[in-house]
Amino acid sequence: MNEFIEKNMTLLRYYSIITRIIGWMLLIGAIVVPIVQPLSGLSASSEHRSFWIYLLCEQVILGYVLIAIVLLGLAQFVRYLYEGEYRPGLILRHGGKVLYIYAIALIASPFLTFYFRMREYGYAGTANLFEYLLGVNLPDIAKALIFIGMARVLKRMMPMVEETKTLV
Amino acid sequence: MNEFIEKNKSLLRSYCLITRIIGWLLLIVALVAVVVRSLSGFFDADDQLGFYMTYRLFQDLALRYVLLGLVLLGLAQFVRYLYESEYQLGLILRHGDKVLYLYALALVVNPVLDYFYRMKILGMTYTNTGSLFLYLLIILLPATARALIFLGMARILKRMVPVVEESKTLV
Repeated sequence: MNEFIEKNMTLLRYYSIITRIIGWMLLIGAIVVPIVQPLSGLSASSEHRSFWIYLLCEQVILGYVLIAIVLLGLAQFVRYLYEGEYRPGLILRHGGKVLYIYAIALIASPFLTFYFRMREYGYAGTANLFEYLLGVNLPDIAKALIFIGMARVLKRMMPMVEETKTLV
Repeated sequence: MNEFIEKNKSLLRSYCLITRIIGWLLLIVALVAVVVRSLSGFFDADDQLGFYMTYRLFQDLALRYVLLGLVLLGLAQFVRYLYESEYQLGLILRHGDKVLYLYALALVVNPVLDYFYRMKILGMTYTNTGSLFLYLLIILLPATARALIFLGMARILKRMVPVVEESKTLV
């Protein structure tokens, strides 16, 4: 493990910096987007306002906040890999939970969208729920499975990294 | 490592099974979508918009179904490789890091291509993605974030495979 870290130190450092920058940019985006989007007229329609508000919330939570937290956790993990003195940050300590929450949100989001679309428009874009779920939810389930796998791997990796740090 | 695998064997087995099912389903759905669309005359349109719709369909299928399906099948192979001592590395897992790099690259390239196709070739403008700044903020930033996650996964995978191999040879 140590040999791998030594070999890839520069790469890991750059990766950690870029990941942190993008993570923080996403969090800033999560604040800017709800301000800018209504101003640009996207959610100006008063007819389906609740649906637009839901879409905006979904976009901000799923597309910005949660992914930013995952990214900042990843940056902490990489930093924990190559910095001898660095202790796991708050996000990394709860990394598994963050990844599970993201996985749940990925699966729940298409169901909620379906519900809101049906409520607002009476039609969700496809003929029935099965077709909708196959078309929309299947890739999300796939992504959720990837994040669940990552959570399991992270849980196993943390003690391994800790172990290699204590080796002389 | 071995102790962890023994403790989580049933969980890993169930996870592997579900991952394989969803992975194959994604590939099948992609194939079915192409067949159904071609039978319904979707690819017959010969105007700019028709080409754009065809391009969007293949882009969607490649990114959301085929590449994701491959990533998932690779993940299933990795998990199986973890708990089955006799199991040898599958084709996707042997090239796992490349698949993940490809997926990460596609995640970033895809919105850029889409933007240029819509704005430059079709001359479309949308209120919410019309300006480049908003486009970068709304579409490209989350896509870059996802790509970075998959890049990290590729690096971790490259390191993990020899570690698992090592733990298998330990008595």
